[in-house]
Amino acid sequence: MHTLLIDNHDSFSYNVFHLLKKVASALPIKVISCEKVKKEDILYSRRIILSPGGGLPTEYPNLMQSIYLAEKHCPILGICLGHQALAIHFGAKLEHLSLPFHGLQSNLKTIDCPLFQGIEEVKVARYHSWVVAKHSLPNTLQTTSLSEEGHIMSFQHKSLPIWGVQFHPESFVTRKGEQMISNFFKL
Amino acid sequence: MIRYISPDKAKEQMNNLGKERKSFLFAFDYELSKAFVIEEPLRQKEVLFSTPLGSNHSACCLKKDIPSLKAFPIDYSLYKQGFDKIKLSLLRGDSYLANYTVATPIKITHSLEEIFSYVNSPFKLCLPEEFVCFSPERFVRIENNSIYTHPMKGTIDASIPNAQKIILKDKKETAEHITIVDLLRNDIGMVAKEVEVLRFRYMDKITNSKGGSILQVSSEIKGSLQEDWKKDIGSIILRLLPAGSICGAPKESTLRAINRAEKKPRGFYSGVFGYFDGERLDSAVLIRFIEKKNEEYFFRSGGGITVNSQCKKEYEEVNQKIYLPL
Repeated sequence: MHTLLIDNHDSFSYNVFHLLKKVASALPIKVISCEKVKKEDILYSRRIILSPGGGLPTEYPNLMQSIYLAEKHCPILGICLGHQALAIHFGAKLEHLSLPFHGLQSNLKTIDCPLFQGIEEVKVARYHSWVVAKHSLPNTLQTTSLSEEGHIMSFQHKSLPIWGVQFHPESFVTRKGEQMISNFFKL
Repeated sequence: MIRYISPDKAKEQMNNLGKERKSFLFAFDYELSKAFVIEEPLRQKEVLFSTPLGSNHSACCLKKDIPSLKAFPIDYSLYKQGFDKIKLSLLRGDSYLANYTVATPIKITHSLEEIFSYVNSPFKLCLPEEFVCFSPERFVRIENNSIYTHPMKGTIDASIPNAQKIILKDKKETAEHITIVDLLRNDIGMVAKEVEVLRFRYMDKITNSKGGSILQVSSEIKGSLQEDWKKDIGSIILRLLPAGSICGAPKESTLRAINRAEKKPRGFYSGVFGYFDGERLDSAVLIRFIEKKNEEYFFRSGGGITVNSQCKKEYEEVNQKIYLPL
């Protein structure tokens, strides 16, 4: 068994990798490029993390296929593009921001949920041009945090161990990112 | 004549020399289409170089007539064409930060070798009849079993009251700096363990030849290498290319955006070069760069573009970067 990190050709994937190594040393961490992920890779996963990436989730057909194969198999955490891919998979839509948030630190308004357990002030790094459109969020997903402008910053699935975070827990300017990943590994 | 080889060949040669602890000089172009490696570079004069770890050039032959240059900036509309393409990629989310560069025709009073002798810079490289580079920007340094990088982003005129406070509070500068730190933490993490940010947004005061000074904002990132890193020295360097600071993040999709905007290959400009003295390695990004093409000279310069960048300001900045640090 392994922890699988699906790399959507991002330049922050190794930051995610090192964070995973700190938190989850019990199992080997396998990093596979999104277009190369096979069914066996998913079936051997104890947990799956979907990396950030440029562009839009629909430009990553094998990532969407991997989510389809993985949704009932093990806990999944999607980061940024990974979060958006999960949202689309469950039926949400994306909305383009006329002024993107690239390299900004924001305070979030959170609800009481496992992701933020043990964290008082949630301060995170954001790199995104798109958000999951609020009105399109399906009943199966629940928003767990909002930005000050009211954008969805994270969600959890209501019955499956699946979380999405629009922000970057692996960033140098996200506080307690390690705690969030560690919370995911308690699932 | 200098012999260019493929980056893969250069990597192997560097690994072998590293294993034998023999000194060498190396350079890779931006597109990773060519490279060169020179063994025992202090013994040759064909390629001139200077780094904090060693130089094959002594400043003995300086004459009194100081070199100067005259720039003929490209049309603003031409600059804007490429800038708009970059902006589109940023808005769409293909990139968070992209380095957009141009080639400005210049006239110079001296040869490239003479300019090499005169300019003041920690890292210098000259291939006579091809280019001269006087870079202020370190790429990576490897010493003992640690690898260090010092991304530089953000400068401000030091004479402005509260300059330090102003630049540290500036939203655009802060965002750019955070992005480059996250990108380089990632890149160092590809080749090293235990990546840490030793210093975040520290200031250096740099005085120029006219007596003015600027504050330069940098960060310092460190990673731990395997004890036997010297036998992999070429693989480590090649893995990190192209250098994050001269392309942007995410690298892959940003490189495509840069190609669309710049259209022409950059060549050695914004590649890297470095020197291994048998024990330690120091290297620089090939910026502040004059190239000779046929009988014409061009000064290559660029800047980081983010969603908040204004075209006019960025255009002014690439032109301001055209000078000789004497």
